[in-house]
Amino acid sequence: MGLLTILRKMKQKEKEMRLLMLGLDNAGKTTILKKFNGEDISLISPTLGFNIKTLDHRGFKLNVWDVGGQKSLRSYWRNYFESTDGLVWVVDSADKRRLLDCKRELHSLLQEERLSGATLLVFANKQDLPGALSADDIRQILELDEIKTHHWQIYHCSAVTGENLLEGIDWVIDDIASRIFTMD
Amino acid sequence: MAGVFDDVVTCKTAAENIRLQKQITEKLYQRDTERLAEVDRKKSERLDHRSEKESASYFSATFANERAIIEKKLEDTNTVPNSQLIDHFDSLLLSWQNLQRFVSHSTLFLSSYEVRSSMEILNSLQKKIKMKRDSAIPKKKFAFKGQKKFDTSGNIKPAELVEGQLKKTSIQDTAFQAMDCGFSDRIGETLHVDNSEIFEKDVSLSRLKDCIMKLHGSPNTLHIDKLQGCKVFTGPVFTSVFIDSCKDCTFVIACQQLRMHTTSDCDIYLHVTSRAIVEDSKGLRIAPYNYRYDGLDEDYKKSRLNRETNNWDDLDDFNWLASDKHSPNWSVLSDEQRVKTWEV
Repeated sequence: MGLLTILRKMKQKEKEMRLLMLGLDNAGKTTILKKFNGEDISLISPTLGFNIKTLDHRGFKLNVWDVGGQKSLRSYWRNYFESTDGLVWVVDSADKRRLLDCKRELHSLLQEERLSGATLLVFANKQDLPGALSADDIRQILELDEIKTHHWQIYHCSAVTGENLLEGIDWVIDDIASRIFTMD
Repeated sequence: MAGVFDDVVTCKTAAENIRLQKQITEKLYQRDTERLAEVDRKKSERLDHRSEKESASYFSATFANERAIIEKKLEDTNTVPNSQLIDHFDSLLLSWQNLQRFVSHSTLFLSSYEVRSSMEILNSLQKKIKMKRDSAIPKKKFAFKGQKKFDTSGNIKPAELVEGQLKKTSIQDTAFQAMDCGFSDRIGETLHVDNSEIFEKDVSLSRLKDCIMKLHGSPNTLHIDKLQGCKVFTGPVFTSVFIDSCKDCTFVIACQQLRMHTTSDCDIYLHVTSRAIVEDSKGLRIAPYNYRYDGLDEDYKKSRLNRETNNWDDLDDFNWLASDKHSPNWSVLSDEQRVKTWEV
């Protein structure tokens, strides 16, 4: 019995997953988290630090870490990488001028060794806004097709209306589950 | 007896286990060092690659170089023997396509101006090649045969490819250019914009100097970038205002959320319903929003901003995390220093 198997067994008992939610400031990370948890989203201010929520979803215990995206906080992102099962990258689809920034940050994250095993879910958020780019445009601009090192998927969504949030999270859960909770 | 036998077995398995364990840890350790080395190697490779290839100067140099090669080849057409003309033009077309691919790959880090101008150069090059080709290899009157030749020379496929790339480029182009409404690169102007122009739009103001901007209406978002010595007045903004790299300005702003980055020495007359944050900024002075213009009340209703909640005097400074001491980067503008009424 190898170490990995033991770890797998331990995780299986609790069915616990750790999701790390990152993205540029004003992407809507906190709003997604709160909406998903059924909380009020009308008075959300920029995240100074981070939020942690533990959610029970489909029999899994999700530890979701939502870390502020301001430039000065990005250097702290690394502190949250350890034992992350899934990375949720949130994009403000209407903020065209910072998509390059967004691409750069994402690709530098993906080079992080401690995130090397993590599943990547990209949320093309703010689809409710007029002028928001489609998930397909975002996929091209962020050059997601270049990513060979991680399982990834992009979902368009709107944190304000809640559209497609569940589908995205479900995909990430399924992907992680198939990886770490072997059905033996 | 049975007990002794059991002990022997356990002993054996224990020894075996230790051996196995050792083997495994050794193997693991070895693999780990190999992997680390590989990661390091890849990282440095990528860094080298990137810094070299993702700069505008590298782009312009390479682009100019390739362009010169193509033009030289084009000029040399007259010296090429007739029998090799087709091959000659094929190779010309191929280098042109490579150049175009290079441009479309580079669009992500180029300014829209550079992209546009290089696209124009590409277009004119393509035209030149075509003209030269038409004059050097005149089309036969009966075109069937010629067209077949065109087919077999494998030109159709690259042409399709090129079209695909063009499409991709144009998507990226529009992605970065398509702002609904904006003003940029002006000096010393006074601009007055009313609601019909900006209502529910993404408005951008960038690279302005000593200008006065009066936005009498409700944009959806407002992006303010690289302003110096300007005064900006706006009606209630639906969602967020983003101010970046401004200096010596006055902003009179109502919005749901305000973010200020690398901005210094500005006065902000603010109505914010959620929260304002500052980052890498200093010398900011804050006062409550006090702008008035005809139709302000109506714009407030349309923008659904709550007039009752205003957190103007509670900024979060991301560079000042101590809660017991006030951030040195911003202060509240005292009553005497505030401008009481703005001339509209």
